[in-house]
Amino acid sequence: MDAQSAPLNRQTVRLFVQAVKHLLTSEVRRRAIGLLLLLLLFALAVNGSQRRWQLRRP
Amino acid sequence: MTAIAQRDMAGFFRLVTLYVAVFGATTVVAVFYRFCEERMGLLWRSWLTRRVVERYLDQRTYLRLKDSAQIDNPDQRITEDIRAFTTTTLSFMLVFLNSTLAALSFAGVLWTISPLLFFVAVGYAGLGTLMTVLLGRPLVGLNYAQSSREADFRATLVHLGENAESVALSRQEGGSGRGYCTGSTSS
Repeated sequence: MDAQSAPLNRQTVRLFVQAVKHLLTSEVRRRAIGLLLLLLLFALAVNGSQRRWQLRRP
Repeated sequence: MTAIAQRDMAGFFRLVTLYVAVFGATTVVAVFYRFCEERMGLLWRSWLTRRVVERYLDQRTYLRLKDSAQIDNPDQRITEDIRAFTTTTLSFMLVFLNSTLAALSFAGVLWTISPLLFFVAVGYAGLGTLMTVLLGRPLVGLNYAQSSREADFRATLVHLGENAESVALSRQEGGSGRGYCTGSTSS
């Protein structure tokens, strides 16, 4: 691969999904899934509190 | 009508207290969020590095790669490229997640204000994304070239350190030698 041949296509997406899948099926999957769930929870908390505050504003 | 406009002192302080509480809680959550992101990046990087090193050492792959012209600087790929890959991928995933949640959270609010405003915002965001993809596409190749050049430069300096005496004796610091000043390798 050289500097010019860096395509952004379906294969890029496939490799991206594969990379994530490999991590989530590895021996560290429990910690990885736990951290991802925490990140999802925190993201929901931040966005949820923003929305709640937005709706409360008169 | 706001509490200030209504001259409602109790209501004003109640809302200020609520704002400070929400702001404080959000800050704490944001700190934990950042902590989890860093931990996740480290976990992914250490796992992937271990896996790649195992395959690199298995069945003398390192020896075959040394003679192969297809993959240059495997040490660079194991250290820097894995770091860049894991942090960038994780960052991309989280940005996508946050953007989706923010869009879902505020789409309803925007729609209640004005449906036209909602469509203008979506169009504006879509146009911005399209421009970013089009303008940023050449950066992928440039980034790759930069990493490769940096790896060559580091490898050249490591070579200089390992062969300091012979380089000094033959005065090959620049010119006809490996080109230590520029990082280019001629041998």
